[in-house]
Amino acid sequence: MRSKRTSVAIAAVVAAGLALVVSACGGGGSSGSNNTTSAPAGKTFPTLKVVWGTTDYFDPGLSYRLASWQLFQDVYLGLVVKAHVSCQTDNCAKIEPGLATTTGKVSDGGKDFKFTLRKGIKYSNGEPVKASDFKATIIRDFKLNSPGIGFFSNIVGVDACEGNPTKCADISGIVTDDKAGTVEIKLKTPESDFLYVLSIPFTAIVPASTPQKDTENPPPAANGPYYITSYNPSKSFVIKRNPNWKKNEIPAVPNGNPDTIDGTMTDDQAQAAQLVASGQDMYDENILPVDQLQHYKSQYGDQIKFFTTPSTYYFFMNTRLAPFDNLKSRQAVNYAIDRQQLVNLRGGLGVPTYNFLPPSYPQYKKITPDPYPYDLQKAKQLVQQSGTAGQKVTIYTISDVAVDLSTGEYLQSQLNKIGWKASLKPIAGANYFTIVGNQSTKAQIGFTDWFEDYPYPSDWFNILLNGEHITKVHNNNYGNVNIKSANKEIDRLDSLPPSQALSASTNSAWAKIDKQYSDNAATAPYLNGILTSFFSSKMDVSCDVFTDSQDDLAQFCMK
Amino acid sequence: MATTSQEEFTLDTAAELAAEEGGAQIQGKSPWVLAGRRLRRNYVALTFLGVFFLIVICCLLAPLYVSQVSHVGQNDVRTGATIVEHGKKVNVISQGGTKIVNGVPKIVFGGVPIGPQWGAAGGKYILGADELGRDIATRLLYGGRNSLFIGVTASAICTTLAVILALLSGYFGGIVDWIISRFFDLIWAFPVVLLGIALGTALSVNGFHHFGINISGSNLAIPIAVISFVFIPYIGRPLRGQVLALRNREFVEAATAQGAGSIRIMFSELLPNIASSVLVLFTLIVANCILTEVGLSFLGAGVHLPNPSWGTMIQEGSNKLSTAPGLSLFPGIAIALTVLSLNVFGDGLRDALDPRAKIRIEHG
Amino acid sequence: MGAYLIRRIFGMLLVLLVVSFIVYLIFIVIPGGDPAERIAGKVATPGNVAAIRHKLGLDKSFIVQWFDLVKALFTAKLVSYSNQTNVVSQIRQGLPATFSLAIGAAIIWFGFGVLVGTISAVTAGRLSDRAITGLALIGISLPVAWLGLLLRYFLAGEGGGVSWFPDGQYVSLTQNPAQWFYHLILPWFTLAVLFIGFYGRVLRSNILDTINEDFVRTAKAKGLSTRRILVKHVLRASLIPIVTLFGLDFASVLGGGAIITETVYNLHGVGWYAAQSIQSEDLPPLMGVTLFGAMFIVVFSLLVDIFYAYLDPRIRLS
Repeated sequence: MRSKRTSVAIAAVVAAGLALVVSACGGGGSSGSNNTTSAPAGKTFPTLKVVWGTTDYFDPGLSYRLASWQLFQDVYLGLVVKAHVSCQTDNCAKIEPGLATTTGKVSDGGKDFKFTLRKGIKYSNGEPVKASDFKATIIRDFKLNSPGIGFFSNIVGVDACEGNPTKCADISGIVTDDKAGTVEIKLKTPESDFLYVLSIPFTAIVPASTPQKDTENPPPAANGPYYITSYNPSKSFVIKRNPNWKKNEIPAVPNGNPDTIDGTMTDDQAQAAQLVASGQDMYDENILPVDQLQHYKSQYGDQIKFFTTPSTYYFFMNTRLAPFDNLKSRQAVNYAIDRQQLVNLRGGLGVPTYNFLPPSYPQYKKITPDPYPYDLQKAKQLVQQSGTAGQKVTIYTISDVAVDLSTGEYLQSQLNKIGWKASLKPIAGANYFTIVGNQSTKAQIGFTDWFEDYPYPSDWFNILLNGEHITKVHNNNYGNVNIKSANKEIDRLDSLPPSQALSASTNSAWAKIDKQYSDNAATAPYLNGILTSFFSSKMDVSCDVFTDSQDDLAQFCMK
Repeated sequence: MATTSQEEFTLDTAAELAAEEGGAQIQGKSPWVLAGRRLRRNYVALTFLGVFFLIVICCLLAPLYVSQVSHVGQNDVRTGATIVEHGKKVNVISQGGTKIVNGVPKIVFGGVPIGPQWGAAGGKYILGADELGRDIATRLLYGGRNSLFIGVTASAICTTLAVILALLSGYFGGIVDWIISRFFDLIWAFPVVLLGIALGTALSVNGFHHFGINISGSNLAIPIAVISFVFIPYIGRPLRGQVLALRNREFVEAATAQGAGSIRIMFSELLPNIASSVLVLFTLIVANCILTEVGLSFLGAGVHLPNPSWGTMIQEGSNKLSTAPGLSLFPGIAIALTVLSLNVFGDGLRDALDPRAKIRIEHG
Repeated sequence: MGAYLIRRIFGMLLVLLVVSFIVYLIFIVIPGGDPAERIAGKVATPGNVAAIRHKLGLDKSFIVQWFDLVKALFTAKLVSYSNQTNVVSQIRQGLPATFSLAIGAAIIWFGFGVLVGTISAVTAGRLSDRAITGLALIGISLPVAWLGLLLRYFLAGEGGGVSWFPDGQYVSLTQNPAQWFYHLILPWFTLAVLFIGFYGRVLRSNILDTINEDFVRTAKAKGLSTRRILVKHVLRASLIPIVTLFGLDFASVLGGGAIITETVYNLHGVGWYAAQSIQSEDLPPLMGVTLFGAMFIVVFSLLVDIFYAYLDPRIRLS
């Protein structure tokens, strides 16, 4: 997903045989009665006031932003969930049973998943959770033209819906039985990362009675320990305890300490930080203002946490348009950016990189020597050699996030220095990725980033760089990168049997793809991001659990 | 036309002068000369006029400033640069970064630009740097060029259009007057800033591509057009009132009797008589146009990044007040000074042209 | 009086109609391009775009489109391009903040404007007059955005200065009256400064003009005290033009015209809503707010005219 709004990912999902770090293969997975949350019991408190960044939606079928997903982890649950444990000390990508009693019975060589729903779970509106609600949720996603429908393309019988999403009526590959409480999903080809798909908000189960359109006022009824009572886009939200949540009914999900969560939304990072510093709010989801890091660290050092994230920030270059259809031009861009300075624009919150994959992955192999050390002269030469000197280049970037804007201005200055006529087109974050992901925009080059949906290279290469997954609208492969040999290799690696998915040879094969894209200057990656969480002095920071969906509000506690 | 004498005059009207000269032949002084004399004695107004011209000249000399003093251009990003401050080498932007040690990030904070150097760095970054290493003083001057250019041009266009409309309206009366008055009313019905951002945004979405004219969204012509349009009634209405009053005076009747055509009457008879109002209104509307440009650019509906204008600079610095207050502070001082100068001079001009003037800008 | 009223109301409706047409021109015709594509934005596929075009009637003649637009606005069906929220309901949500800002600031600027203008006029030529005039001139020369930022910097703890005041944000009156007031002090002041300076100067010159009128001389000759003259005759006469100005300014701010103040202090009012829409090039909210603002001004114009007509029978009969 994007740190900010992302475009629709109608990419076809990974094909076959991926082993996960967590797997549910063979007979039933763990029935997970272990309490995997860290929040001590009895630390409840009445109100948690938070400051939040603005986001795209509060509808789990539509939102694809970190800001929403962080809240959804305690509101909208799917058949399975990711464990609510700390990524620093634990395996935060571990799949645990959610609404289902187990992490699924897999059969037919990885093509068939069977789940049984827990009994007696009710939504916040009093309706009971039914098996058929799962199918209704997936159909609803199609009707909404959700960014997540790309994850469903491997389900049997989905073709009619894929062809005409808004007229989606049925998916034969999903079989539900309300009386028995069972859900069965049949896939076209084996795909063991499918459990991850069932743990993200797009597959979180909502009542079948939820309107099949963008529902935010209020958002759909919830099945988690909390539900969203009101949402004012870009202004505020209120989340309260789900009256129909029974304590410990899903062990992997904490019951929650705060009774109410009161959220104010703003993108003004300085103001947001000030609200927490003054004690008016208790937690700031926004990144701290990058020019005041020293001030905040020295004054509130113990209340701030810094997190490395599996993310890469890069510039996309449209390989279908001049001047970036030329290899030398793309190499020139890579030589023209001083990655250390780009990190510095973020106040130092980042690690420079030339790789596409983040360093925390086992498949990551640092490309040595540095493929494109900062060299303006070389960049200029390459521009000359490419024959594109003097051409007009329009750089796209986000206008309402200060750092993204500065990044765009930096790139503009550098590209002007090496011989192009660069201009800047800033667009509001809410619309940015949609516009850039539309082929008719003809965006030549621009800012973008990617945060993992799940920890495997296919989430990166298949969605973002595979030439077979270029679409007209809601394109994720902004550069229209299409290297046939790489496409083939990605598909091959995706079809390996589970036992080989994490072997040394597979890892180095992925690393080779990483290097191949770097040699081809397909994109210009420049840093892996670092984020901050800021707590007020009233909060006990040791309670904070940074899950795969970021700080888990349910586990916060006060001093 | 009387010749000007070197003596110090304390009396204004021609009649009083004549009386003083004790019966000598009355030589009428043209109102313009008298006005000039009054203005000349208004030291405050003249001082501020001087301030205004000083600001304009400084801004026009921006390229000279770059080549001689700061050596950093308006969009010259210098993130990794260093300067020599008091003999020591200092980073223009503090350098930081992150190293991951055993999975834990060890961060050195960076990204803070240096503050005003004044003279310490030999002319560079006199007013400090922004987060991209650009020289604030340079951008201030270039920004001033843009803001002043937009302000003055917009007022010129606005005044011209308003004068023409007022003349037509006041002279022809009847249906013409009705249409033009309703036109004024309609523009008047919109709050200034709202109308400005409405037009500004609508035009910047795709630029203007009608009637064979093609202007891109980031062209300065767009804020100029928007601002000049918005202020037409501000000048048009008072002038129309004046033209209406003058319309029925004898000299107009005389001209008509002499067979003068409408155009001649409007431009040779009526226009000179409202000229002093036009002058005063023009001066005051320049101030308003500059303030409006600042407002529009601050909101993002005026000048487009990364071209500097005083308004965009204030906006860029608005979330960095604690670490680099100069980013917003200096453009604001420049604007306040410029607009104040225009207002004081405008006041002085009005007092000089008609000490009992009833011309003032209504605003809404 | 009745006939006058009817004539004026009819005129007002006509103006509103034309205003809506201008809004239509500005937002539909000028940008060109394909509004349907813009609306489809988030879910744009060729099929969707055509469907949206048909649903919005963009394939109909422009008169019909204009009618539909007006209808959509008045039946509260206008929907934002970027986040599907209903424009009218968003405007309604912004009303408390905008009204609070407008009314409070209006009281301050009218009160102080009259005070300052009167003192200045009465002590014309002396130090107090010069000082006030000087301050007034400075007041009207400050860009509102800058003034707001300065106050936040120095008085609201935004890094540099003291934290005497909260740093923006709007607290609802019903939620916490004390905080509501506290949070609004700086915005009120910021908005009022510009107007105080202006009104003070206008009132000053009005008073000075009126003082020279015949009826004042008559009153003086009759032996009325200066104070009595001032308050009963001069002030009353001088205030009339001020009331017109005030009516329009107040209407403008009520209708969301204090965009910059609301933005700088993060008050989620109607003006703030408009400013947000600029960044996303989101036209329906701008359309809604523009029409809303214009409506206020037109209505208040009518009210001011009626007030005048009530005061001065000659106007009614003209």
